[in-house]
Amino acid sequence: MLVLHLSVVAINHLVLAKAAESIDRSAGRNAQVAALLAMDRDIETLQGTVLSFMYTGDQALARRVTEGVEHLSEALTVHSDGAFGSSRSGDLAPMMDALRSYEEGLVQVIAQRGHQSRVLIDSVRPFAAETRATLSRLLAVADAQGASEAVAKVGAAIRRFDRAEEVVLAYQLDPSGALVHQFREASGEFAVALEDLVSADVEPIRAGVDAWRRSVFHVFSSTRSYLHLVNVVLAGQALEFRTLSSLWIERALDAQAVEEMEAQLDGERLRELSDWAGILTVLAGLLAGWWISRSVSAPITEMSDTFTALAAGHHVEIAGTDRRDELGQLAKAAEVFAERNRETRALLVQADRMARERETTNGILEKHVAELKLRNEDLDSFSYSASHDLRAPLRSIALLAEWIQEDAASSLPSESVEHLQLMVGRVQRLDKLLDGLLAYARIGRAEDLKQRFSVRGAIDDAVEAWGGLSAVRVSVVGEDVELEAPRVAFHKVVQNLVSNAVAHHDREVAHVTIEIQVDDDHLELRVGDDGPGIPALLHERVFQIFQTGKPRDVQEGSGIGLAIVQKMVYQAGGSIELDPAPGRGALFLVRWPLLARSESRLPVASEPV
Amino acid sequence: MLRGGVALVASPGLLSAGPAIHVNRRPKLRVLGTHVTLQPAIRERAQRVLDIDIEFLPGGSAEVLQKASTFPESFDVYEQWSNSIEILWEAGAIQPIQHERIALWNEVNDLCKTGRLEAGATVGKGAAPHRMLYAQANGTLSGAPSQELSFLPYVHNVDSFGYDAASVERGTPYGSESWGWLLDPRWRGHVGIVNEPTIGLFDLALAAEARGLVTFADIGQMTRKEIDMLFEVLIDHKRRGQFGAFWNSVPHSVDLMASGRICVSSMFSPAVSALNGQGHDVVYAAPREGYRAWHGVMCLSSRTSGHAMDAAYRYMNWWLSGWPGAFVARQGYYISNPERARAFLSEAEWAYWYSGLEATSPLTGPDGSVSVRAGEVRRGGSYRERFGHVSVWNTVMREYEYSMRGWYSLLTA
Repeated sequence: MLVLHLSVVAINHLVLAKAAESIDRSAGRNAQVAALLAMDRDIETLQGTVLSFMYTGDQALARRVTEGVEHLSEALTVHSDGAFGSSRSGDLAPMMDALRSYEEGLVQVIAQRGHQSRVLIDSVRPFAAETRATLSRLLAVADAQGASEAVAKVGAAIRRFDRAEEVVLAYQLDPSGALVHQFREASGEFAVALEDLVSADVEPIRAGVDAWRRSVFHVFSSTRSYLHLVNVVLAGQALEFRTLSSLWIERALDAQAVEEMEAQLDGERLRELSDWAGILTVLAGLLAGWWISRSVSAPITEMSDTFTALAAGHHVEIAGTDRRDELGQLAKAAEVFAERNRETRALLVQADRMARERETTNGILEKHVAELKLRNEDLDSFSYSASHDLRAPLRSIALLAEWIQEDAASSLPSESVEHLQLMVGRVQRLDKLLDGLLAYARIGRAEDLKQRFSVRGAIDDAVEAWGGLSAVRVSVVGEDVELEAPRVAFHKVVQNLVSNAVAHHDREVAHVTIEIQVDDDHLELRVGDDGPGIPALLHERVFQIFQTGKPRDVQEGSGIGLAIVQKMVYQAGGSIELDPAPGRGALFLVRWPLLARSESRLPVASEPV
Repeated sequence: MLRGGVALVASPGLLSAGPAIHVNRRPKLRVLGTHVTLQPAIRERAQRVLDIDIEFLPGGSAEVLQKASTFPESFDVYEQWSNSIEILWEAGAIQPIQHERIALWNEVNDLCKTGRLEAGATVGKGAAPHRMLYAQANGTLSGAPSQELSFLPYVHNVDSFGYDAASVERGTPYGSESWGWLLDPRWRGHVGIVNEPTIGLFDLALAAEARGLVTFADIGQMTRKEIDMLFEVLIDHKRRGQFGAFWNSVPHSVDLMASGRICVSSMFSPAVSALNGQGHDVVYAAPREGYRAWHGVMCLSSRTSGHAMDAAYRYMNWWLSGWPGAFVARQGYYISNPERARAFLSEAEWAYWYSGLEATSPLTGPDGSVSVRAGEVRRGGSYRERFGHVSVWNTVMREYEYSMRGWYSLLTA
């Protein structure tokens, strides 16, 4: 469109330039035509002046014609080499040639005319004057002497000379070849007549006759020469000059007419061209608009749609990322956006899946928990029922064995008595196991209300209530705190841990240290003893039910004390673990949640209980 | 000359040329004349053969005539046309040639002695060379044989008009071709005339006579009345735009014809050759009224004497020795003793140029280029046939000066 617009501008410039050029050319041509017409008049005037000069020999006229030719030559040079271009100056070159020949002819005309005058003045007239004077003098002398023959001879010479002179004069007035002949005859006769004269005075004339005749022929010759130059050469060159001038003017006018016609046609053509260019510009504008909307607006709309789609989370093919403009940058941004969108969508899908999985897991867990709870309850229920229900037959068996032993001890072989004793022992062990199991099953079953109590006080109470104080020295260290928890369970935990330390102790008196520590939300009891410690192999199973560190035959125990501790601690929301640190003694770490902690801190009793 | 053309326009420099100063023992000859015969090849050949120095002083016809008649001391030998003889003779510019010093005088043919080559042929009007060949004891020139010649006859030819066959229907030699074409209204505006009254006036007079517009008692010596009548007719034609140009030189005539400004024109043979060489089909007519003939004259300056005069005689004799005649024959000019030239021409050349027969092979001009194609026949026929059809010779009439007034009126009409 810009190109077309520029084309329109260029066309308009072209039109103007052509018009200006045409005007210039026309003005130039008009100036040249005017100049040529002026030169035409000038050369005509010049010809007249040349004729005047030819007849009069007036040197002022000679100067005038010389200057006139120079002026013409300058004018022609100006219009040949001037502002009208070399193509046209070529047309004027033959005119310049004609003028140059004219000028050369003119120089000769002046020379010949001058020569003729000089010969007449310097030779012909002095000779004539001398001849007339001499002959007149001779005639007068002869006449005075009365010498009629001499008078007749001198008279004849004078008449012949007069005749010759008349011819010369006549030739000057009206040159003619016939007069030349007449002069030849007359002068010849004069020369003959001179021969008849005997006076010594005639000698100079006789001697000068030939020179005089030659001089007169010079006059004739020069006259013929300048007549030829003026009438033929100059007139011919002037004619050629004027013919060329009129031909040039004719051609110039023709060219002018043609040019005007062409200019008109050109104008129409250029106007048409301009119109078409205008129409094309408008069409190009529409096309450009369409193209812009297609190449700019459309991509923007497309991009907008892309972003909308991307925002809606749809997958969209993004076009235009290869563009090097702002749209390209937008497309790249859209691509980044789409990538983030894909990632986000993937994350959402993952989160959704995870949520669903969590829901599922939670469901399963809850189900499992419920099942577990149910199973635990069943187990507890079974344990409780079994231990409860088994105790009656077991008591019966023990009672019956006692009765057998009491009744038939003496009658029974010793081996059977031993077996009976062994059976009673086993029944008792089973009874203990059942007690333990029942105790274990009862945990959580019985109502154990949470109470607020002093930890140190509770430990002291538990140790004291346990009853085996002789075999143990319990030291409680650490700052006392108040704890809100099921007091019975807490008691049991402390008792079982002290009991466990004592039970597995290899010395008479066991030293048990209970260290109370509190952090932000837990009470930590570190219960250590100075016993033999727990073998590493048993660390894994130490809290399992019915697990004992030694065969029951070696060390009687229910194997349920630590299992009860763990269950109670767990039920309270806490944890218990065995410190695996090597060395003598065992150290249990109990973390008990502080459900409600007393604001006031009790003084630490570091004294052994 | 063929290429240089006859410059009818004078050159001013030559007028001031004084007599040469002789410093060498070797003679030096000064030859004043026109480009027709003052050609470099001729000068070089003559210098070599004659063992003399030759200075050529070429110029236009009018110029050299004026110079010769006024300053006879400026030259030794003058070469021009028979029509200038009377002027020179009357002016005392030339001296008689002793014909016993012309070794081959007896071989010079009758054209210059009787005005015709064979008995029965018409003798052209005007300044026929035989009418002024011999110097008489009374100081006049006439055809009466004497021991003294006013000039040595040598180069001569017949002229007519040329026409461009592209524009003008081809005529028949001595039949339809007529001088009248110059005044034929069909060619109005496109007729060229040589701007020289001693030549062009006869072309126009022949044309006017051919068209029955004017009659002359003696076309070679018109009366003032006849001249007035003729110019009345010519000026009338001029005013009606009959003439496209009055040409001033041979190259000028070539340019005018080549550019189309003119299509029928009085013409010299070198211009026709040049135009044919340029591809223009220009025909050099053989007018039924007869040709306008011209005759070259070689004159001895009235001031020449001694060694220069001897050299001048040697030079004149050399001109009749054959080679120069053959040289100018190849340009279409004839020599007064053709048999000598024949020895230097091929048979084909002789057949074409002199016998008027068909060229049996291409003929070359002096510059070596082909000037005549094989099969061409010289228009107007043989030497004898052409000179048997001479109507008038180029002439300076008694009323030459008067005719120039009319000429001026014609040019400025």
